[in-house]
Amino acid sequence: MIDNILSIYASFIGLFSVIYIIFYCILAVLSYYAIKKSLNTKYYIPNNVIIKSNYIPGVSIIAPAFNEGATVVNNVKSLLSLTYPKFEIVLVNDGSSDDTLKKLIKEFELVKVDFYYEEKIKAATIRGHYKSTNPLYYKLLVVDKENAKSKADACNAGINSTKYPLFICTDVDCILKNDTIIKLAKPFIESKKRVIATGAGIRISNSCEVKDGFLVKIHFPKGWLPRFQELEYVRAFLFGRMAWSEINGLLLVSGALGMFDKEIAIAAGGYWHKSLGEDMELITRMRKYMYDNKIPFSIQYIPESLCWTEVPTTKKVFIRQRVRWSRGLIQTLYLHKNIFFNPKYQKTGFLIFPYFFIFEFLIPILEVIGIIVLIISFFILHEDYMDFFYLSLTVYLFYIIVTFISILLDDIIYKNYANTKEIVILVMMAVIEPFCYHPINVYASLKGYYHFFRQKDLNWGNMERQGFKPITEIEKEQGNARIKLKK
Amino acid sequence: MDVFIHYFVRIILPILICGCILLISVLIINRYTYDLFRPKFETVKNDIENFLTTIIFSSFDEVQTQTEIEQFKKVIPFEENWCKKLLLNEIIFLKLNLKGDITKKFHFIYEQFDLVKYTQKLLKSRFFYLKCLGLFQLESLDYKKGKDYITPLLDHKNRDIKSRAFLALISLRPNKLESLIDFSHEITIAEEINIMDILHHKKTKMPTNLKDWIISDNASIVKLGIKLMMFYNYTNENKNIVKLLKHDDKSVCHEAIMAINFLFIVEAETELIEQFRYEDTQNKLEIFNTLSRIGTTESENFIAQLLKNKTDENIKLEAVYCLIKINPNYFDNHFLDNEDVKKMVKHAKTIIR
Repeated sequence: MIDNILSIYASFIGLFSVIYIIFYCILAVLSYYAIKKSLNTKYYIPNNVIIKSNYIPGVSIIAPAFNEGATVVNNVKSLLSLTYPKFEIVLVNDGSSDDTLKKLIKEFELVKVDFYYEEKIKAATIRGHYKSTNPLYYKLLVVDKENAKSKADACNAGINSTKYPLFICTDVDCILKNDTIIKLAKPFIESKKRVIATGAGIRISNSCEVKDGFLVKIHFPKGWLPRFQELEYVRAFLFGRMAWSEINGLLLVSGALGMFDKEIAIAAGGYWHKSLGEDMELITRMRKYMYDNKIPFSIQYIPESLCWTEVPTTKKVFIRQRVRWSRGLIQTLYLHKNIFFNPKYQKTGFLIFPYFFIFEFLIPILEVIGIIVLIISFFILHEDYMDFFYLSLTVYLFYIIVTFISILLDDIIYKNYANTKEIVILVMMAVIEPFCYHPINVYASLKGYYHFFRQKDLNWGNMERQGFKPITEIEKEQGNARIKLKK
Repeated sequence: MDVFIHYFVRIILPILICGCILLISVLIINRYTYDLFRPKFETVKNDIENFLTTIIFSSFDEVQTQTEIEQFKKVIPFEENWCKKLLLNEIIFLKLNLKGDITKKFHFIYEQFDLVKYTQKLLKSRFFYLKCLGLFQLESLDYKKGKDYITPLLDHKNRDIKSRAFLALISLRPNKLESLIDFSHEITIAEEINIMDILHHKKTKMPTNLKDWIISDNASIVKLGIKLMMFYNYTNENKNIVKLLKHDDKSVCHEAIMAINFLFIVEAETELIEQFRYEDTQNKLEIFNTLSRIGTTESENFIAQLLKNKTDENIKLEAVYCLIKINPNYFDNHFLDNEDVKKMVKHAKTIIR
């Protein structure tokens, strides 16, 4: 009896693995093609032409801030320095209990204005809108609102306050590349189909040199956890998202950086404030809206890192973040379960949702079941350990090959790493990642699913930011290192 | 199962192991060679920059320049493709960033380095993006002799090549825009932006058949025609522009509304008001924008009625902006009992657009 069950289980896992590997191979090809295509068409409409043009859409940048008093002024200055002819910054002070608003008022000479606020999307009470009396900061609008314990709510208040047809959602502490708006807006200008959202690669800013909110020098992250996340980000952005973008199958545009068509986002109902994966949930609803109204659309990804963000450095914060992500995933899949195999939703129903369910949601569960079965097989059924070894080795090799291809693509195209040493470190990290980092991820995912099914209270928690070292400190460290070397 | 594992161990696993080792090697070797190559690249780049700056800003002597170029070719690894590409990029960079007579020297330098051949090679490549790169080079250098290489690509089956060739040709012979009217394909917004950029740069003559553009069957040409009329401040076709408000293509209507604003066609006020209810939100907003410039009492009454009626909330605020621009004192005596409108008025007076 047990033998039969195990045999059926083994066949299932075998078939599952083959489909998984084939899927990844297809993604690799698609991703390579998408990146190549994007790079090859860069001479089509040069950035300087866009900057000078009168025929481009205006863009509003929404940046929610909660207790960011220490860095908010520099971050706003950094956002104001972006290059684009028609844009505004809508900073949403999400009921900060620190001096965020006070500092903004002082630095940017803000005054409360009579702002006609239309609640196109439901959001918490707005306390007021502030504009600068200094013409230098005419692009800045500060929205002061009550805290509703969700970034989604702050974004919705921001969307309601914007004036341009496109908006970017980002975090106020994210550092954007100077030409971010141009690059994200380009598909909206160039594409024949209606583009409803665009996104771009995100990198880790933890060890980067930042001065007054501006990225001075990119450094490879220090510490195990940020380095593993670096690997994960490269793999996700260059391997996964570019491939999905190529077949117009993106279900996720990162919350740290994404540009959206305001009309569609509002029509779809904006961000859902109870969602724990509000970025994925919004895209899902926008896709649904387009299908429901039979409007051809596309969601595109730009194969370039345009945003640097700080990632968790401690296991506790990291697990909390991943628990929220996994809970967001299952929440979205459950909430929109009517998409599954619904002909109206075309590839979203027949390909994207099933993929996310099978290869994103189920994988952590299957991994744990697999380990339990193996332990039983070892100790009770005395199975041949060599078969287990071969199977594990195959899975492991495939996993790290995927990671190596991502690093290779990244290095060939963008040269984001300083030297060979950093590549060697990344290779070593990739080799040990399945043993050191992956289990933590699996644990966090399962914990997220558990919380979802137990309907535990939502808890965002605070992302404990390390902040950036001033350049002088970095130079000092480098100086000390040199002295040590000399000694 | 045993047979499967037998073949699996002997075929799949070795492939994966070899793949893994190969990838690690490629990763490290690729980066290592790049690290070795980078200083050489930087040196050559500096040499090229210095050489070009010296040649361009010094007095021009054909024979001497020729000799200097020949000598310089021996200093840098000129035969390498990356070097040619780098050299050409530097020439293009300087060409795009400098103005005046000195830019004429660039063609001489381009020819003396024999980079025309390099561009030709790109244009003959079977890869579409290399063809596009070649076209970009001719366009950026404003190399008029290259027109003959472009013409065959105008009918290329690849849309990107065709589009790039089309733009390059407009750029190289901007005073022969008349033939554009025969263009049967849809012109994308990206192409429109590029064309307008070229026209801004080249200060071209107005096409003699411009009035025929706005009655073309191709909506793209009509839109481009309207844009050109705005660009040249061409007011002879105002009546026909107003007629375009009733065009089937909403984007043409949008362009016509903008032209009415830009060319200050005050006689279109009534037509704009009549057309308002048939338009989509984007065009309605553009009508407000235009009425705020050309509007009179007729527009005042029309907007006041809109504010009284059950109008889409999204456009009410824009209507208030428009009315304030037409008559800044209008709301001093009107809508005093309408709290919603009063809030909008306060907003519009505070947040100036």
